[in-house]
Amino acid sequence: MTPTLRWLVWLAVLIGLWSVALEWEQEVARLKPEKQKLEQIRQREGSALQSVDWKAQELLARHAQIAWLDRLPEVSQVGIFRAEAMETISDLCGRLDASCQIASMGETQARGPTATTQGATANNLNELKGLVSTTLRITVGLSGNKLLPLMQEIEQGKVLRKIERFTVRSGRAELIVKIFGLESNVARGERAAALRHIEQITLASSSIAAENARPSSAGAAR
Amino acid sequence: MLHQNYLFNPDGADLRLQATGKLVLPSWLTRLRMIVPRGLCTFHRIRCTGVPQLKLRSFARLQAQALSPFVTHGCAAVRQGAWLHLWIWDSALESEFALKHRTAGNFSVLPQSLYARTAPDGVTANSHAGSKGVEWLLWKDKLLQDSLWFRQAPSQEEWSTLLVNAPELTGLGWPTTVPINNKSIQAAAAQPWARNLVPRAGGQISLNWNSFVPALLSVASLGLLGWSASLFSQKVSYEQAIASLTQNQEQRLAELEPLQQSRQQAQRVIDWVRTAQALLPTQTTHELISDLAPVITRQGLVVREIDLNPPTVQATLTAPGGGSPRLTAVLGALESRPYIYDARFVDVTGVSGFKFSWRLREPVAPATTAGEAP
Repeated sequence: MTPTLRWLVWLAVLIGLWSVALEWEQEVARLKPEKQKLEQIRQREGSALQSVDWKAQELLARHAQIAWLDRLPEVSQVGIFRAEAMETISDLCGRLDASCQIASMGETQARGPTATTQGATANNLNELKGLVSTTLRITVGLSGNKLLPLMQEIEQGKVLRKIERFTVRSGRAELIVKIFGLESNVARGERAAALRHIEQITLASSSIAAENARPSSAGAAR
Repeated sequence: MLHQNYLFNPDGADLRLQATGKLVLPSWLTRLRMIVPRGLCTFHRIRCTGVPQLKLRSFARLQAQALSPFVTHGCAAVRQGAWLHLWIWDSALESEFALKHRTAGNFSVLPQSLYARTAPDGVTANSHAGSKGVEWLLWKDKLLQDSLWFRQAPSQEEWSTLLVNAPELTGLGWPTTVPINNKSIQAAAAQPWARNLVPRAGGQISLNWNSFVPALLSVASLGLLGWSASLFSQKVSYEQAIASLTQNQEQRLAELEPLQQSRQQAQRVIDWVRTAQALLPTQTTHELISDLAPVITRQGLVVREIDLNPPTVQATLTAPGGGSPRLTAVLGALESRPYIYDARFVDVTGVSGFKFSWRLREPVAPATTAGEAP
């Protein structure tokens, strides 16, 4: 084998190795971003869950839920709920010394995914489970400047009420008021669950606080 | 350095001159150089005023051809100022050198004179233990004036006789007394003091390909092997990392499960609270009436009728004095409220009733936090 031929063979081997190395380089260029992406996903998953104190958020949300449950009366029988609503408004008018005429409008509606009471079939998932509502028409005279206090009492009272329509005509005001309640079994279940979770979270956080405080107090005693 | 210098010896083996530079390359990377002893050269000094630089090489070749006493010759030329120094030797010496060193003409040739010590003025001597005789070089203003070679350094008498027989030497500036005695002969320089203008034909290739190509291939192989090894190790490490990340996914999910459950639980309650909040309007009716009342009374108007059926509000306003309100002022005052838009005058009802209509803007829902209570 002449030296030139030997050099050519050597060069051919080098070119072959070079082509293999180029393939490896392409593979490295492909694998590097893939690995970084996987690591970022892993990191993001962890940080997304750990960055928010979900226990504290749940505790706050449970307190807010109980406050809302306090504004939604428990409804065991729809007729009684409507009668109570009318009586409450009537008492309110009496307390404010306003001459009111109260009438019920339409049927009492029960909504929510598991509503079984009566009325329209609930298919709106955005509505509260077991929500019951009834609508009243209140007619009030404008004399005596009782209208605004009455509206304020209706909207800011303990029970959740909403003025859906307000009309003033011929010296009389007419208010269409919707009053909300919650089926008693749903309300009790939600309240019990909320209280149970609040207790669990409070206990867990206090035990963690005690664990954290123990080494420092031991150190102080020593 | 870059050359292996051999002083040609017509009577035996050539004498290798040791390189003295800081950087000494291995012999297989250096080029062979033949140094012709001054005793085997003839020296000529030719005026070259007016010869362009580009034509100087051809000029030197032509002069060498004209002055050469040999049938075939080799030559070296150096330009200094207006003079061209020309050394001519028999090319049979180069063939003999090639035979001795088994080279195929890949060597350069320089005369021994170019390895002499230089001086600004005066005479320097050039001699080497491997060659016979001694060379005297005459310098003036750092330029070579003349070169003489003697089999033995002449005595004063011989020198005087030479000057008498060759008066042009005195004209060139040679001193009348013997300029150098044998004791003051200096060692040869390591590098030539000038560049040869006429390189030997066929001696241009300066690399020894037989050694250089394998060296180049070896370096390339080593570099390629290193690069390939680095790439392969990177590839393997990435593959292992990806495999471990994928395999640990289930374990990771199990670790995050309690957090995930807490999040779902909290999210469910937050959604419940948001849905409850949506039952109430963001602005209650009595707040709306309390806010609108001063706007209307400021225009000197009284509300005769109003129908508030969100988002539409219709109101019949009347002026107590019986006049008509300024529509632009009323509409401007209404639309100055941020929650009112599309305010317009509808028609006149009765004698003094002016019916207006407007719409209530759906307020942008604020970002609800978990802690919002009614």
